[in-house]
Amino acid sequence: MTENKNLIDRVLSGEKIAFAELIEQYKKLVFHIVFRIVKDIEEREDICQDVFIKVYQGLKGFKGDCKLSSWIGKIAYNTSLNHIGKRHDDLWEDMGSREGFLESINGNGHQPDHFATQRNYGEILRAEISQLPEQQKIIVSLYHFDDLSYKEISDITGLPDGTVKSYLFRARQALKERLEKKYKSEEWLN
Amino acid sequence: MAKLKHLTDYQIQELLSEENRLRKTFYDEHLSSCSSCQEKLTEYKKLFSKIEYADDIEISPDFTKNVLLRAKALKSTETNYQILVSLLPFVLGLSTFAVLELLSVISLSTVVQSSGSFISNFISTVSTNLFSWLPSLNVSFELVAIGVLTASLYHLLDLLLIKPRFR
Repeated sequence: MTENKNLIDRVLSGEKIAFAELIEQYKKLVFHIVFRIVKDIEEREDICQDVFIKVYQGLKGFKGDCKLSSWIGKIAYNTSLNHIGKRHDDLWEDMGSREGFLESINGNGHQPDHFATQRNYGEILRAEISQLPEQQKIIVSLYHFDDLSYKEISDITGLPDGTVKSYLFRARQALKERLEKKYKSEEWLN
Repeated sequence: MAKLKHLTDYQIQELLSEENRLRKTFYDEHLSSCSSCQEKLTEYKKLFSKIEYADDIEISPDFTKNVLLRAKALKSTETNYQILVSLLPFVLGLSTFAVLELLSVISLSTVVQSSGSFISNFISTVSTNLFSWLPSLNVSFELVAIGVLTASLYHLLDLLLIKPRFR
């Protein structure tokens, strides 16, 4: 927090390089959130810029009652929701269920592929993650890509800690089941 | 504890979570004697270690530069507004004079004259008697009215236009 306090003070004092540092530090987080919610490829980067402009304008009002990452993440989350014209509740209600996701795994009926022949784990997991319901994708990416805690994710999304945990567990369970269905276990475990 | 039924997927994931290390010891005994749960734990460990490879976000190299340019443009607009805001009372005051003059409510020469006498009166009375200067001031009704009007308009403008935008 002290590090961030210094950074915030420097940005507020008009130091341009400090704002550049802040953008560098948090752009990945902002991109993860915006890219998971906004589907329009052309507009995503503009929205990420909007988020940082809002951060720039609102930094004076940041009270430090949560982590800076949570505060910026929340701005990114709300800006993205505003952009797609959805309320928070809509996002979490209409984006499919795990049951539907598992049905799609069981229903496709194809034989296990060879995991080892596909060298890029990243590519395989990306494909599987993209099949998850939206809310689970957001939480997986915040937890595993941005190393945020349940509390921070809860601050950003406004969901209770327990719900965040539950979405995350369900997502990982679904990923594991999907990988097991598609690939022989000895392959994806290697 | 060794006889505990198999751990659920939820419990195994909890074991791997940085935030739930305390629970580890609770399940350790069962894990040490249950190959099925050990296998599941290994699978989840593997999954956890591989998920990070799926990060597919590509950020344009000019992103930071573009945001800085927008912030700079915004700051210059803000500065222009601040200049405008500081000039506003004068502009409003002059406009009010012009309107009142046009409506023949006051004449500019009267106002200039009364302003002059107000200032000279003020200086002389304050310098001669610091505590009893107020009642002896010859403040014209027009000057007070213009002052109040200007302050009200300025406050209204600040409230409706400037405050929501920049504060």
